Amino acid sequence: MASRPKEQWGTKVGVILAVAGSAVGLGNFLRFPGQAAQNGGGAFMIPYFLALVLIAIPMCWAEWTMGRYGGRFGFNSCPAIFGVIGRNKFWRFSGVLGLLIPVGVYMYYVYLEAWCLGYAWSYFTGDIVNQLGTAPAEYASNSGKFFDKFVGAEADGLTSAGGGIQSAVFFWLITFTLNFILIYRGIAKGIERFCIIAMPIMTVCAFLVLIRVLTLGTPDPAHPEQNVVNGLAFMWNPKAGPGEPWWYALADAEVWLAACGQVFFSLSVGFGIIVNYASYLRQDDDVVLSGLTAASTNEFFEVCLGGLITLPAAFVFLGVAGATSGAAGGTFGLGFNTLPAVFMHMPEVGGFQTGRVVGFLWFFMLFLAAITSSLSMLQPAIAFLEEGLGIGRRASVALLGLITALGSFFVIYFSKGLVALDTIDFWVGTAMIFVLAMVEVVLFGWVMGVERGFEEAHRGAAIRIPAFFKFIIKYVSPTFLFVIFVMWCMNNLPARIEGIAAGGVALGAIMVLAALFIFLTLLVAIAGPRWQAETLDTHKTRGFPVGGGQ
Amino acid sequence: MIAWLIAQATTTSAPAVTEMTAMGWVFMITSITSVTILVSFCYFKVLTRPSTVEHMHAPLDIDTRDQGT
Repeated sequence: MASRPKEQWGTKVGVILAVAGSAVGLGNFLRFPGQAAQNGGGAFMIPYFLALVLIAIPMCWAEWTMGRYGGRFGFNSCPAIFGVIGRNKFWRFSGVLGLLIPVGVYMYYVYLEAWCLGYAWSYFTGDIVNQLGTAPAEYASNSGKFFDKFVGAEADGLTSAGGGIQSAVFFWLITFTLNFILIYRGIAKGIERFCIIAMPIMTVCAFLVLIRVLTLGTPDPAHPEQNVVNGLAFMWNPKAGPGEPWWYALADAEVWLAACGQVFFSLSVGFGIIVNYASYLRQDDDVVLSGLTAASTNEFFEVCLGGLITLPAAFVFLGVAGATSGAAGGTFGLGFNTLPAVFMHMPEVGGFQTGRVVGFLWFFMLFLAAITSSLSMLQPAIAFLEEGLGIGRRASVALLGLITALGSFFVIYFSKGLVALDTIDFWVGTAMIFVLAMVEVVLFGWVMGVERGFEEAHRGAAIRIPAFFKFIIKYVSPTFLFVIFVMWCMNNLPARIEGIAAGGVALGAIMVLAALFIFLTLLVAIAGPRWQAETLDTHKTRGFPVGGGQ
Repeated sequence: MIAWLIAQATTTSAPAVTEMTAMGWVFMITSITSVTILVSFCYFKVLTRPSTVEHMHAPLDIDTRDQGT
């Protein structure tokens, strides 16, 4: 790989913030509170923290370690790195998932990012405030209508019901372009520099919203029970079925499944992103403390900010029914239907609409959270095109831009009921992540070997991984993952397969993903001989034992 | 303390509209405190680690691939 100049992170804080920025996204603020409130409240946190320790953090360390190891050979993409570690074609081709997942998720995630930017702009101009009306009873229904019109959820196509191009399309163009400008600038000048600026701004915005929510008190004297403390109780009181002790919630498999899924998806493990980011580290850079710091930063945004803002605010203004409905509405329902109605209820201070300011801060923060994530989804494929096909940054950015624009256009055009988005999210953004995570944990714990893996992880490490994690990574994590995956399949697959069998947009989305998968697999097949030659050469040059070729 | 925890554990679930229960406070404060302590510890270690001076790369060391392609 000597012919290809090597990119590196500029600072250790930069890489931590970039990985944390990749993990912190809409799910931290919108999915986590809904999942917790619906699955045992405070009791949800027991399986949540167990999954964090048993699956998520060990997987983070494994991904950081494998990524830095692959970087030693000049590789930055999952297929190349997995090939180096596994030393055969199976592992190299299993790395295709590390390209398919981030690219597939990016195709719809950049659209969600556009929603956040569009909503922030609407609060800035006051447009959304005007459209939600002046009658509090109509805020919720008007909020739903605004969302449907904004994203074109009423019908397929690019035009909204009232005529004209959907507003979200304009914001999609802006966010899509911004992502590629930043990614073109490279690791240090693009991603790192942006994350170092965006993460602190995001934190400040989140704290400002948090302070506003926690100081709401009892805004409606006619409903004294709708106060902040009771809002926190709605979120955090442990609960099971009616009349049952709260710990009965822990006997519910759904609670465990929800908690494990939340931790797993929240930390961006199984995406192939951490492997790629860590490959730009120097060989003596710490990975253990950095991985733990990035994971804990994500947890801070999720538990300490996401857990205190959204549902308590919804409870204070909308009561139990509104907060329950918001929690059940999932990420989109809570974020884009319920919360705009909540912000409208916020009292004026000296004739000043605080809800409008809070709404702007909230959606701008979500936009920053989303863009730091979407940037990380592009980099693995950029790295692959550069090192696999030997093309330059400009050509790889152009090629990836074309691929993702086509995929994203499919999601935007087939916007009715958000079926295309939901289908891609299910298969690539959920199912494939489980599969890649299992591939990675087996590759690290069994193929690379847990002893060798720990030795590699501890090179330059600021802290040591406790020895019992060897057992966890080798036995507990794969088993835990497999059991959750089987349970998840049993719960979700039958309905999804029926949806695909019915044809229509769901089937079209699957065909788009299949085409992408085949295309990426072919590219990996083309890149294989090139990598094999380079790996053997590197092994000889640097004195590493020469494997049997990838 | 243990007896109190056992007593709390055997109380039935709170109804839908309720005030914060003792266990609600316990779960909320424990969760937030533990995450805050963890993240504080991590950043303290990262920022004060004596042997790791920030990597200062020379301009030629940072390649952005935006030239000569």
